[in-house]
Amino acid sequence: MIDIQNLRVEYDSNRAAVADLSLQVQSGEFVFVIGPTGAGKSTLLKVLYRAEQVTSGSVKVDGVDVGAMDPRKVPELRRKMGVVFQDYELLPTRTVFENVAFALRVLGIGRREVRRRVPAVLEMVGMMRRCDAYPSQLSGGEQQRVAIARALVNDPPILLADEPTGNLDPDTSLVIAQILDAANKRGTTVMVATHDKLIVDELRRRVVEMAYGRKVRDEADGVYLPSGECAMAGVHEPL
Amino acid sequence: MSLSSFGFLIEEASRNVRRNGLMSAASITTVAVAMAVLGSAVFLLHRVQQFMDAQPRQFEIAAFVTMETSRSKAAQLKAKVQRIPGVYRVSLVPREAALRQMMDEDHKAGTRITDALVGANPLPDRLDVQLSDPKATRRVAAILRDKDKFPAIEHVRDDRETLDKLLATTRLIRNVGMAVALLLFLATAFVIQNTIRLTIFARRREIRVMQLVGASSGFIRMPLVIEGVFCGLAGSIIACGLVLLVIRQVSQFAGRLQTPFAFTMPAAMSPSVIVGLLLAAGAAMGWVSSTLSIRRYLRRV
Repeated sequence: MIDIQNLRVEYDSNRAAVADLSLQVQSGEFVFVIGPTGAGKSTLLKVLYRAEQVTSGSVKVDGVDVGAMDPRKVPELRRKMGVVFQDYELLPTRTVFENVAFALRVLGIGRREVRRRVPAVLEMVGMMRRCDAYPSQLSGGEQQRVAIARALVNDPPILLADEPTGNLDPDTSLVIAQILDAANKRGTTVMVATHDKLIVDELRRRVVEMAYGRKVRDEADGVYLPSGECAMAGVHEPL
Repeated sequence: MSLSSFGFLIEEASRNVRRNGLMSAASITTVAVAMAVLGSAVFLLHRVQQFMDAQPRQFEIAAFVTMETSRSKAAQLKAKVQRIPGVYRVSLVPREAALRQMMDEDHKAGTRITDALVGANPLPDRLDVQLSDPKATRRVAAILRDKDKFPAIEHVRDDRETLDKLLATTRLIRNVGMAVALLLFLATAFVIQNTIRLTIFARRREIRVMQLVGASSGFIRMPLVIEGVFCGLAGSIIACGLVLLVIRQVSQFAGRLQTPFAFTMPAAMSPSVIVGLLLAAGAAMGWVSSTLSIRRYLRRV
């Protein structure tokens, strides 16, 4: 589903946010990308939804080369993936229902279809009972559930989440992790960039650890820190 | 694009206008004022241009024939004048007709000066010489004044000097008017651009969500373009009212105007043409401005 070869992303010519990174993610997988702030996790996700340019290497999503993509094809790419952020990015002047419906309406999907699909996805994240509330009337965890509903409403094969629990307390984080897990169990490929030890250790899924833009660990059923050793040992900032 | 999508886009555009109510009102008002001045300026320019275009036919040389000349001699003279290069048309105004015309004008002006003539006619026959090129006036007048060639012509009156002043004035009005109109056009385009820019800023969250979920760029731009066109059209509609008012006032004024030249204003543009032009210009300006603004200010995620 996702095939990354020797990816390098530079913001300026002497500092690489991601360097020499290769990664394959199979359809239906659940991957945590972990590492400290500045390790390149967000950049990696941004490259996947083409919000960041590839400097060198190749990035393929569902067989399509994202790096060499015609900008006019970007909307097509993004319809294949839902994206969730740390700060939810809900529209404050629209209700829960309208926020989720908006994502369908802007794709040209008609009212009838919207009325069928939005309640179903809100039900899935447990937010249907608050469908008339505005984002400001919701807790952070509720807002993130709405954001996930919005990301999933178009049934994309891939779900990308960038620090989805960054602003949430531990209990709420676990709820979010379970929702992501549930989406994965229904077949969605999920990639979560996080430094939240709790959810990584709770779900025990594949863990890709990054440091200074490089992949330093790739482990199935991993935990946040492998016991007794530091994954970052021996890694230096690449120039 | 499906009907439902079209409805959604209109909905979004009107949502923008409502939510940025004050800004939309400000931009509509500015567009209205600018378009009203622009429309009036264009209308007046059109009239001035029409007036100028009409001048070569309107202004003429008047050659007064001596009293002794018979009507048949005068007719021969007319044919001779007609052959001078640069002359467009010559008409013979018999003294009786000249007197009638003079009395009519006198009565129309509400005076009774011609009553003092008590039936006498002091006026000679007259040749009205129209020129194909107003620049030829002086040359043709000089030929007519030549007593060797035209002994039967007593006096020649040409309106060259007055005409020159008049044309210089109208030319100045036209040039200044065109400069002002151009500036206003640019100002109006800028105001719409700025409104769209503010809308893009106000809607940055919506736009970001649209971009992230893969809305086509047409879908993202369309509500902004619709808003721009709406502002342009709404402003133009107000401007139409103002311009039609100006036209009525000007026409009334021109109707009352007494001028030394018996010129008639050519028929003006019909109001429906002006309304159509203003609406089209407003919509086009809204469309172009918003498109430019989108190109400049819409960031890609």
